[in-house]
Amino acid sequence: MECPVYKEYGILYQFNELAAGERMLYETHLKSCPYCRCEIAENQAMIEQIEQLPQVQPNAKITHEILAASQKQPRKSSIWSKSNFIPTFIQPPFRWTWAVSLAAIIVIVSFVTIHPFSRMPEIYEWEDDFYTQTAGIEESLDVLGGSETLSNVSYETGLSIDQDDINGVYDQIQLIDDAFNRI
Amino acid sequence: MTLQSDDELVQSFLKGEESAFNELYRAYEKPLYSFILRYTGNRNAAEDLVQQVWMKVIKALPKYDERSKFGSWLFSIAHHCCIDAVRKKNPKQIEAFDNTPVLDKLPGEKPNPEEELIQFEERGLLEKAIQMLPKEQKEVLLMRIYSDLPFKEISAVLNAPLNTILGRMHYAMKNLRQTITQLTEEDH
Repeated sequence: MECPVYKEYGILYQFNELAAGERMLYETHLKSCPYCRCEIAENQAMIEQIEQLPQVQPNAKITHEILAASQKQPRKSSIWSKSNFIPTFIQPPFRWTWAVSLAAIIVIVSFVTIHPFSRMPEIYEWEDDFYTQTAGIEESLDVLGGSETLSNVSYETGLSIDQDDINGVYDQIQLIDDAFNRI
Repeated sequence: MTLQSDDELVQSFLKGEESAFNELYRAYEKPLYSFILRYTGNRNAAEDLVQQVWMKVIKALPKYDERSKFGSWLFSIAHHCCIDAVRKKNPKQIEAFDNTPVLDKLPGEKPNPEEELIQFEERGLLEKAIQMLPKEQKEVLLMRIYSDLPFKEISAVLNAPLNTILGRMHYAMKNLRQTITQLTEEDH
């Protein structure tokens, strides 16, 4: 009667592919299993016979053609592969992992920097600046009580407000509006 | 002179050292051809196939992935070429393909002395018995003998579970013994 252990362990044992522990276990099993002992002995003889069959080689013409083809073949692969200048950990097959990781980092960093929420503190800073800068102007306009032209403002209050200051304030208002619209 | 590993030879070849490929070829020339010849059972088909396999290897070498052993990679290409070759043949050709004697004349074989004749006959029987094995069993047996790959790697090359591979090997051995006994009885 066949021994189920042979099919798996017997073959591996014969080709010396069992780990040390498994080998010891199987050798213990062999002592008590006549089927396995018989299979091992018969197969060993067969394997030796097969290994003794002469190894043959193709005719010289084929060998010549193959070797000639190898000389004609372009050998350069991509700049990444097999280069001595590139550390092995970023050479194939790991380069794609690195490329994907790098791309992911770029995407995350871009998202964090460009996304409107990330700009909130900046908007608040603009807002603070805006109020600081416009406080004096509002005060001046109140004093003017309806002066319509900038030249009047300068003339009647004696405050030094020129056109560039006003334009600057309007530009900042516009930026803040834009930022809020983006939110 | 230091012996270079297969991977080092591949790298040297890719860097332009022509002798590296020659060395690689010489290392695998006989095992690969013996595998293909005994798998197909036909010298002409085997020569075509071996050429096909090496051409594919030369073409694919720049993309060779060092994670796998060169031997596994080479025999995996050989396995696919053999399968394709058998598939492309019509049934009539497959029959011829499978029944042609593999080794009608062995290289360096000396005729005449009685002992050698007996040995030759025994080898002939063994060759015939190998040819008569089912394709899957024959493939595992030949790959283990000629590629020297462990069964675990053979299971990866043939894309089958390890237990299946071991089962095929077990039955290959069993069938070989039975067939040789039958053939010997028929002879007498």
